[in-house]
Amino acid sequence: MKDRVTTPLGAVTLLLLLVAVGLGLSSPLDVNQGSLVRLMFVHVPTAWVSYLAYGGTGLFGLLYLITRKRRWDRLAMASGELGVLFTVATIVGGMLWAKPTWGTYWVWDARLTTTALSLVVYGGYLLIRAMIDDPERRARVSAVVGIVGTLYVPINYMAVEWWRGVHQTQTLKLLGKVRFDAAPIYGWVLLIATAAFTLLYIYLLRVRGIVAARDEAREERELMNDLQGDLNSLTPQGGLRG
Amino acid sequence: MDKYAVYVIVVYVVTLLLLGAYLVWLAQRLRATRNEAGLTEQVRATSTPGNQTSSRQTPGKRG
Amino acid sequence: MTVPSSPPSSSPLPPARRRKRSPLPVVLGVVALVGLTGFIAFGNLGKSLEYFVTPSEYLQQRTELEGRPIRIGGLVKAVQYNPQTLDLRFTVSDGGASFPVTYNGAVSDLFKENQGVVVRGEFTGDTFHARELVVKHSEEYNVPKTQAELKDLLQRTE
Repeated sequence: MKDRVTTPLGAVTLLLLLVAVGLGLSSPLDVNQGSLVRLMFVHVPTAWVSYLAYGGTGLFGLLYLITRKRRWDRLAMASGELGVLFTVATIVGGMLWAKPTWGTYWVWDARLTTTALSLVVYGGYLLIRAMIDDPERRARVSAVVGIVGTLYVPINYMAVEWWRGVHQTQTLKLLGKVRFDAAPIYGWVLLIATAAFTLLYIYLLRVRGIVAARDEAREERELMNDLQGDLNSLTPQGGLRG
Repeated sequence: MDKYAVYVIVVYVVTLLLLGAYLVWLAQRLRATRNEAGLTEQVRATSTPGNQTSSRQTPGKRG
Repeated sequence: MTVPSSPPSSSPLPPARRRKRSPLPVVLGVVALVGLTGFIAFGNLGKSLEYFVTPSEYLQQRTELEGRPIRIGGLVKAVQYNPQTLDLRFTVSDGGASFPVTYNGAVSDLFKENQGVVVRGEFTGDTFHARELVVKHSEEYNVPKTQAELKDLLQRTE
């Protein structure tokens, strides 16, 4: 089966990312922060993708439990890995934004602490997967972890509302009346950057899914080779079941 | 341009490098597993029909 | 292992199959996770999820909080800064109560009058000695509306 989607998708993603970076780096200066406001167009989209990816892990895990198709388990794993990657990107970018604005790289406020915790939760998710050898059990257990882990998304999103901290509250207000508390130009740039990063997520998910499918095929092949070896040595008449 | 203009570019580059590194790693895995589909089919073909059925039934029985 | 329990047979069972893989990545992963968990726990040791108290709250809970290292958050008023010695004096206020704060060191460019700030340190009498100062900024971002604002912005951040 020829894959006609992945490469064009990658090309479109790259193009839109270049546009987003170009727009981000040429956006007008903010009255208070100057050019530092441009970091928003990387920080917010990476954080958005980390939510999207963790949500994906929960959704694909649920789909696995319903359909018992291994494809969903592979996508759940791929999405979890991407969630960790984009969380790390969010933290790195955020720390570099915090230093010149807040005056420190890190504070242990609710938003930052829960973000760090997500690395423990989803690092644990990936680790559990590495420790369970039986593919069906691995898929079942990690689907449950993935679904429960999705709680992280609303908790992290609401952390700036529920607890006092240093991190700003949402610029795009979705609670109550929807409002964007910034110059409209920042809204447009942010929208394009978010679209670009969302495409990047879909592209990476697809490629990671292909790699995972091949890994699984190899695992299965090795197992079959082993089985054949066993059968040849144990039961010369062949056939496991009578 | 203000004094943070270059700093901002550096942060963009750092973030994109991080994501790019992951993509490079993926590309390497993809290349390393290019033959996988073919190999698996080969094994399936050489294994006896009886063996195939038993190993294919396995997942259903455990669910 | 997808091999189901073998049917009863006179031949000995095959040894349980383990995938031959180095346990090192998993061990390293566990160590990293435990380390990260410990680090997070240590970072939050004895602190609540509420990151700071306001000056008014401090007034109310004075008996409990006095002499202990705490964080106070409020708005910056009456700034006096000496760029040579890096000595900084200001008042932190939440409208209800306010306390004088001393700090020594460089601060973020965003530090200014009426800016939100979180300081960590201790009270000596009514004066707060801050050892850490974090500037809280608004979630609102705006482009300069007038030429004067733009000029001011460029001058400040050069």
